[in-house]
Parts: sequence; C-alpha cells; structure tokens
Amino acid sequence: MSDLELGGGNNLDEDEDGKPAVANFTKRLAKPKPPTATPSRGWRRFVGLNAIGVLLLVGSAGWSGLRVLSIHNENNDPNVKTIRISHWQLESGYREAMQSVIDDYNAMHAAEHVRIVQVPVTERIYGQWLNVNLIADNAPDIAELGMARLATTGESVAKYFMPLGREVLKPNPYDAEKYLDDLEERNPDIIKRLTTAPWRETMVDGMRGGYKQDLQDYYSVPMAFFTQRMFYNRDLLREITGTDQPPQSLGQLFALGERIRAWGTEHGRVIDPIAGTRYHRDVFVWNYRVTFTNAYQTELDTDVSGSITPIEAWAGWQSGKISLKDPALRAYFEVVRKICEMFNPNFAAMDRDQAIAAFASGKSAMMATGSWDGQSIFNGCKFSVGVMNFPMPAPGEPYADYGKYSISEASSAGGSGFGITRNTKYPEISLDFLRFISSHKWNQKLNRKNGWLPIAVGTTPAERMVPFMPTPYGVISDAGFGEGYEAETKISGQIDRFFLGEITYEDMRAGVDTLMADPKIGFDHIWFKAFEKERDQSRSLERTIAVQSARQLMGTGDDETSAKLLETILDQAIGNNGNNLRHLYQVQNGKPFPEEQ
Amino acid sequence: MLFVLIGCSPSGASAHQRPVAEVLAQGSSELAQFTFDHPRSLFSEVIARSAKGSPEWQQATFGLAVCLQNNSPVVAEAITEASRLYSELIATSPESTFAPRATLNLGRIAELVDYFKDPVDLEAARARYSEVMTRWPDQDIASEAALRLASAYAQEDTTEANTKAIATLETWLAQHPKDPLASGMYQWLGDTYYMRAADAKQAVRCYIAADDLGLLWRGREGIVYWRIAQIAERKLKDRDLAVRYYTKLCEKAQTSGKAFEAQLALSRLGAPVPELTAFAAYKGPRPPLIDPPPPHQSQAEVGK
Repeated sequence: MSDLELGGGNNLDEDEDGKPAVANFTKRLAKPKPPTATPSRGWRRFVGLNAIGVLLLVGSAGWSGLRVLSIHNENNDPNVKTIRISHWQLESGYREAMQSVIDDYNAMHAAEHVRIVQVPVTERIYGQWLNVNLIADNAPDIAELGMARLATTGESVAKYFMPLGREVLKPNPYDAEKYLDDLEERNPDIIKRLTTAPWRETMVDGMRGGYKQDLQDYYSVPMAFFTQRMFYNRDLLREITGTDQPPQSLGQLFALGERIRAWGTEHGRVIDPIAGTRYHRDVFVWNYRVTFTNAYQTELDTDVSGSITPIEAWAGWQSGKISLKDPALRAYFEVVRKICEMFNPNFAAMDRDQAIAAFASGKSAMMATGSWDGQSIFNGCKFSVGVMNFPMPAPGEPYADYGKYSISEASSAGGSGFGITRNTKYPEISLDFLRFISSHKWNQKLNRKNGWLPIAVGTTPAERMVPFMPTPYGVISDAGFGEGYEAETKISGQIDRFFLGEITYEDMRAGVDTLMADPKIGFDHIWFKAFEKERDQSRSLERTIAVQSARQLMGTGDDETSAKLLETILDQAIGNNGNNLRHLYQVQNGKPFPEEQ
Repeated sequence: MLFVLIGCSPSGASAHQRPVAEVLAQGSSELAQFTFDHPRSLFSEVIARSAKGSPEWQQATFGLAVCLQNNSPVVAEAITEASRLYSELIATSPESTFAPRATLNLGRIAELVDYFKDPVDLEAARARYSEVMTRWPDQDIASEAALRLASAYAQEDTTEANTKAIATLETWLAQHPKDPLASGMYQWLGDTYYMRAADAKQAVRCYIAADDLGLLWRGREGIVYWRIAQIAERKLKDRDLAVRYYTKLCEKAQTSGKAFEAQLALSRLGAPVPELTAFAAYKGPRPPLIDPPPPHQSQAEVGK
C-alpha cells in the first residue's frame, strides 16, 4: 500500500493544471516506485511520514489539552490556596530570583496547601492590565504598585489595596533568630532589631517607600533600593589606555573620552566613549544638576526646609538670584553638553535597550544607568564590567569652583513595592508572603540572585553590586525648571537643542529668558499654577482628615488613627491652602498675586 | 413582572431585611477605607429607617455628609446637601459626639475651594472654628479649631491678620501647653514667625518647643532639625544651638539626606562630627570635610 492510500498528501489540492489532485491519482500511481521501496506489512503498514506527522499533531494537541487541564485544575483545586503575585520586572534574572524565593515559601507551606504563583507582565501593558483587572475584581492577590493609575493615585490605592499600617507595627516572624543564619555580621543590635522591632523598622528606609503620605498609611512593602552609577568596560579601557582604572575626576572623564575617540580613529574602529539615549542623558542631567546647583540652596530655600522646591527655583529665576548668566549654571550646561558629545551621535533617536546593546557589544566604553539594569548588563557583557561613581571636578580642573559634591542617596526610599489587593481571597497568606519576601534571609536571597540592592536591615548585596550601595556623602538640593508647565516644555526644547549641539549657549539663554518672561506661560502663570496645585493638594488632604476623623468617631480606627489625624491636620494647616505662595510672591515682587487667568 | 422578579431576588430581599446596625457598620467600614460613593446609599438607608435624632441617625447623617463632601468629583449640589446635613445634625442632636466635627466641617466647607469657582469665605470659616472652641473647649477638636482659626487669619496675609493668627495660638498654647496638637501648633507658629513676621528668634523658640514636645512629623524630623540649625547658625549666630541640632540631625535623621551637610557644618563650626552609622555598608569615595577641625580634636573625632 502506498503513502497515498494511507491518506497522506494534499490529494484534494489542485495541481498545476488546475485539475483536482484526486483526478491525478492514477497518473501518480502509474509512476514506477523507487527500486528500494518495498511494500509494508503488519504494523508497518500503518507507519509512514504522514502518519507520524498526524500522530505528532494529535499527540501535541492532546498533551496541550492535558497541560491546560492540569493547570486549570491546579489553579482551581479547591484544596490548594493559590496566591498570584504580579510585577513588571522582566529584567534578566528577576523572575528566576523571585521564583527561587517563591519555591522556598511554597515548600515551607506545602502542608497548608499554599501555592504562590508569579505573573510577570511586560511594563508596556502592566498599567493597563492591572487597571482592568482591578476594576473587574480579578486582580492578582499581590501586585507591584506603580504604572497603573489605580495603583498610584491616593484615592484609588485606598480603594483597591489594603492598608498595612497595623501590620507594619508588628515584628516580622520570618526575622526570628532561627532564620538569621545568613546574617554575616552577628551584630547584637541588628539581631535585636530584626527579631523584635516592628516590621517597618527592619527595612533600611523604615518602609518609607511603601508609605502613602496623602493616605497616612502603608500600602506596599518595598523590596529593594535603587541607585545610579556609571558602568565601564574594563577590557576596553585597558586596551585603550593601558589600565582598567576608571576616571577619578570629571577632567579625567573628558580626557578619556577624547582618547577613546582618537584610539578608534587610529584603529579604524567606531567606539563611542559613552552609550547614550535621552534616558541615559537624563541620568547625567539629574546627577550633575544637583552637583552644580546645590549651592543655590542658601539663596533659594526660602523656608529653610533643606531643599529647593520647584516654585522656590522659579522665584529665584524671577528675582535673578539664579540666572543662566551665572558661571555655575553655564558650567553645568557645558558639562552635560560635553557628556552628550561623548555619546553615540544618534543618541536622541535611540532607546534604552539599544544603548545597553551598544555597551554590551563593546561599541561604547561606558554608560550610566540605575542599579535596576545591573544584572542585565553584568549578564549581557562578555567583558569585565566595572562600576564607578559619577566623577566630580577635581581641584584645579575646569568647573571645580562650581561643583564639589555628588548627590546624596541617604534619603532614597525603597522601590519595587508590593501591595495586597482588596479582592484577594487570602489576605492573611498574601500578607504572610510579603513578610517572608521582605525578611532578612529571603530579601537578601531575592536581591542577591537578582542583582539588586536588598533593603532589609543587615543584608548585603551580591559582591558586584557593592559599588551601588547608597552613599550619604552628598547633597540633595537642586534648581531647575521643574513644574513650569507650558514654559517648562518649551524651555526643555531649548535645552535639548543646546545639548544636541544645534544652538549656542547664548542662543539657548536668550530663548529661555524670553519664555520665562512670556506673560502667558512665564513666571506669573507658573506662580498661579503652583498656587492652584497647593490648593488642590490641601483639598485632597481634607479627604484623609475626613476619613481619619470618621474612623475616630465611628470606632473603625486603630491605635495610630489619632496620630495620623494630627499629622495630616498639621500638613494641611502648614500650607495655609497655598497662601504661603501668595505671601512669598507679594514679598518678592511687591505687587498683588496674579489671580486666575 | 420584572419589578416583581427584582423585588423577589435574594439580594433585594436581604437588603431590606438586614438590621440597621449591620447596614450602618458596613457604611462606616467602607468610609474608613476611603470609599465615598457606595456608602452614601447605605447611610441614606439607615437615615430612612432610623428615628430622627437616634444614635444610628446621627452617625448615618454625619457619614452621608462626609461622603457627599468628599466624593469625587465634588459638585456644588453635593456640598450644599452636605452642609444641610451637618446643620440638621447639629440642630437636632447638639450633644451628639458628631456635632463638634460637623460644626468644624462647616468651617472647612467655607474655607476650602471644593469645586471650580467655589468662593472662599474665611470670615464664615472663622466663625465656625470659634464656635467649636467655645462650645467644646475641653475636647481635642477645640485645639484643631484653634489651629484652623489661626490659619484662616494668616490666609488674609495682612500684618494685622498675621498678628491675630500668632496671638490666637500663643494664647491657646499658654492655656493648653500639653494639648495633643501643641507640637504641631508650635511648628506652625515657627513657620509663621519666620516667613510672615521675619522673627527668627521667635521662630526658633517655637521649633524647639515643638521638638521638645515630640514632632508630629514622623520620618520628616530632619527638616525641623535642619531649619533650627540653619537659622541658629545664619541668623541668630548661636553656635551652640546650631551644633546641637546639626549633631541631632547626624544622629537621629541620617536618612534625611541632610546628614552629610550637617557633618560639613559641624566641621565648619569646629565641633565633633558623628559618624553616619546607618551607612556603614557604603565603601565608596567620601569627600573630605572641608574646614579643618580645631587643634584639640583628633581626626577620628571628626569622622574622617
């Protein structure tokens, strides 16, 4: 029997003549068989390539069906308590690290039939996905907060996520001494803090990253710290300069950039000193703006809060206390432009991944990004990767008079916070898992495997992440054009053009000065918008006060309610409904505040 | 037929059969979770099913007014109705535990811009706050009313109004030094003296009083420490006070972001510089503390 008789082949297709293929059976049968072909007998008659294909198809479909059914059964097994935890961290190593911690938890609680399942969702759709599922009452039990509007704004967070205020005051049972076997430094103070202090005190940031000021409560548990550094290709640096020592000062960084370009020309290779995109440029912008504008704090920080608020900066631009004519400002802009000149020429059109790829493939010698990219970079590079702080101008170098200190990371709050959704069927287990994953042992495990900075007290990161540990030896104030609304957008355009080398500093300055003085979008408009924003924030705090006072009167509060109420009342009263801004404007400008336009 | 079916549905039946206390508890619980829309119907149901003036009625009336006042988006009609409910509650049950807050909330409605073009009536607000202070002087809410009254004066932003604002709180604090909100009042006074009266000495006195009582700002204490130290150093030329608060900042507010600047200041002032022990794990570069220490101090003492 031939293959055709087994039903294989496209016997219903049309042939080249347009006739039905069935009609050509006889023609094909008439063809002589190959000399080696022998008729199949017994079970062999059922075996042929087409039959194998069909069997494979049926087998695959069957296996898929069984798999779907088994997953369905697993997820719907009434005896198993399944907790879903969603996040958008698709960086290299994160899911594996999370899974290893989940596996530990599942193993520890197997007898209780608890199963934690992670649901990774790409950041491109995470927000939309979470919003839809929160509204549909189908959200995961635990979700990473952020990206989604409903997981960000105070009112929505309160509506869809559980407050953790009562829980963070209790010690974390997974920080009991029996679990502290990974604690490297057996410091009695650390052991005491981990074993007896409230859960929030077992986090380096006091769980500030999970606190919602407007709701006066904790709604998420942060998992890690994040800082920014420069990465460099040790092998390439050694090849070019004879040493793998990174630049120790800003002057040395610029000199290295020139050397790299020259070396590339000499060797017929295109190597950019720094892999850049707009995103990576802004990493430099942020770090050097603090360095070069922090000194304005003395003049601009009107309320002596220790930082320059956006409107204090605008007041400074308006009064002339800060000006683009100042050598310090010029130094800052020139430094960033020089750094942009060290980028790949088309940096403004590239995206983040392309920059990482350029660095990983050795086309760029350095790049600047956050610790969140550390693992991807370390894993993706075939060469030895070094990490360095942003270099400062050394004494005697250009710009040394205007910038001495780097940014302080001491006040950084933890990130990657996870909260418990209100629709969970298992709030106790969800809470228990958050305690587990934020405890010393497992937070350290998660972040060491993942290449992030752990946040639990007494933890240490993976060896190669040590350079990312937050530094307190820096400053925090900076003055820019933030919260300038339409003017900010247009000023950013001018600054962009300067950084791209399209216009001179004088042209940029003239353009920015014109925009700031524009009566429609300039200073007065910005003052009014700032006032409006403060007034709205004050109104928003009224909701928190309403809830806290209702809790107090209706007996639905807790031990913390009174303290929270008093703190919110102070927060609201201290701003005087935005009228402090009106006062500041009138004192500075000697004229009535610009009213609603 | 449809109405009959709906009327016979289990949910419809249970809603009517649920005890008032249960409905009230659900509304109160939802309100406690920042939900303002759904509890309105629950509180309305309790109001309809309770005797006017009963404890259930009082709580439901207050709850409904709070929901109307705060449900987004806030509209003029809802604010009008909330005001009516607060007024009705105060008139019907003047001894209710909800009456003081209802009176204060009428002041808040007058003071705040609740919706677009909502007029601000500071005088009406002040009248309500004064009423709370007079009618319930021994309750905690009276101190909130005092702070609100001072703030409502300050918002006029005239020398006379600012003086009244300060006098209001100074008088209150003299009579109620251990008030739960006293620390917050001192902090507010410190800001007002510094920003509106240009009186650095009085400002620092108030900030220190707030700190001595225990700051209400939890986790943000560093701002107040920095403020005291800076004003002491720059305006009052009080080295000892500046050193005291820069040191406190280094020791108690290391995660404020200002600890290194406090170290620099202590170095500048020739005082011992505490180590930032919370960041012992950081092994990277440390900029030098610029000003050399006085001769009697060792390098170790200044935290090099």
